[in-house]
Amino acid sequence: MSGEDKNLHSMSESDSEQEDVGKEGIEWIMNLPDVPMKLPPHVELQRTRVECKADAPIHTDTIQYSGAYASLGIDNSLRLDSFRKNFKIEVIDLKEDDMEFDMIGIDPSLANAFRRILIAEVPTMAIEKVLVANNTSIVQDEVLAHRLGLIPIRVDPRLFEYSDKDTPNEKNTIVFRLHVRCERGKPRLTATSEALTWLPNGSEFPLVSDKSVSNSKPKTYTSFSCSQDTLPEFANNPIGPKDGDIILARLSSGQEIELEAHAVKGMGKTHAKWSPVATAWYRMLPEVVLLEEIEDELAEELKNKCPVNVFDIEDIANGKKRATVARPRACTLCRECIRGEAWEKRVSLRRVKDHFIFKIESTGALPPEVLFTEAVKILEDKCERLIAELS
Amino acid sequence: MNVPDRYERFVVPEGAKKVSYERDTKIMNAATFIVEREDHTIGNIIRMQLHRDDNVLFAAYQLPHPLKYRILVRIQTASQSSPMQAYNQAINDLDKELDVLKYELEGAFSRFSRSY
Repeated sequence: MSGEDKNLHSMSESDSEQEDVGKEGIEWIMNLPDVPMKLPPHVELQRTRVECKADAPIHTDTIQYSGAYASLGIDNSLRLDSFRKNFKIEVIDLKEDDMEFDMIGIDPSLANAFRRILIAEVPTMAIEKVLVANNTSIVQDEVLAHRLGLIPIRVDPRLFEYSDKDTPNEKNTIVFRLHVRCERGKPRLTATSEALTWLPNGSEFPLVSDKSVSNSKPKTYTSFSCSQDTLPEFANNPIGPKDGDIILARLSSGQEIELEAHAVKGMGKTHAKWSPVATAWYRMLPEVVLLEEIEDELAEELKNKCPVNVFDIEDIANGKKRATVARPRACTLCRECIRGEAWEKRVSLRRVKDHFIFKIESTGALPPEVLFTEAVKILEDKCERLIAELS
Repeated sequence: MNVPDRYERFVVPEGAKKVSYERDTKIMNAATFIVEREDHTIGNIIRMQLHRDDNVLFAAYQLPHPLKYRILVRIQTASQSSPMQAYNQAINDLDKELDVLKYELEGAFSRFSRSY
């Protein structure tokens, strides 16, 4: 990547230091105007593209070693300034819950680190403890508790702390109450996540073992010092499940569920219910190149081969038609277009090694762009710890 | 039951160091860094960053066992550098790269107006 500027640099050097020429052998040779300063095109192609052949992809590895092309006189080391120059982010699509963006000029290991952090290390709130007072439905307590745990909760986890053992308070716990019953003689009732009501004052269940003075307020399972809805963050924005239509249980006549659910902060590493993303994934940018002009019947054939409609046909002079690559981004590299006799010589399917199409689908606790910025912060913290705590 | 504590995966045990350094006794300028409670996320990017360093002759990481939550990063450098120096430089460079990335990210998001 740094070949170009190195070329410029060496040219100016040879201008200014005419008298020094010949003093340092290799330096002098490198300064000759016709010494190649860039990789030959076929090697450059191998370095920057994965090529998808009919049987298997080739040149899949990223060449990271700084001296990989030393014998060609080319420096493969990546410096910060060249990273800064080449790195680019382009947001393609940003919706409430999902986002697609391109990261260009980045190493796969960094892209993968972000993916891993998004899935496993960005914290969210999820129901961890369920206190069941009554459950006469056919869903067993533990199954119901598991279902409750997986409900995404719409709340900013950055406003909460990780909970210590035995001290649930207003800073680390959110309490929900669920009380649904199907009256006798009524048709079946579907209990959904909508029925979860937020208790900003904490638990309402008194501690059973508590035999303290009866005149004071009975002790409950949480000790909130103030109501959560007096906090400015939640005053106009009550906490609740992200989606109200998640089915928890179906109750037939006479059945009842009464429980309290306590949500705490955690991360996806511990349990997937704390993962803030439904999926976070990336793929490399597909590149489709026509190696020769494909005309008339062949063009038609090529267009029909592709299941995702990558190719278009344009009219050229004399009533002839020519195939063009219209939508390379849509390519799934199914390799349908290079199947069959001689097609591999006409079409080349490639992936750009340092261009990542990143997609984040949030579960709803935080918007996707905030999730990604959080992931970057977490990675930074990790790096700092690795330096700071080196003995 | 015999389920291991969940927090064991990311809380460095008391008395243990987050990063410890072990010099190789047989090879010059070679060392192993033992990083507690980390995994491929950090291991792979350190390895990548070390490979970009001219002075590094060998760099690799290993997660010895999926239930032992630590990684080993092994570095061998040329004589003008040292594993410690290479390690520090790699992480500092990484930090700087992330700063650039964060800056670019903010720019990209502010340029894009939300479409809903």
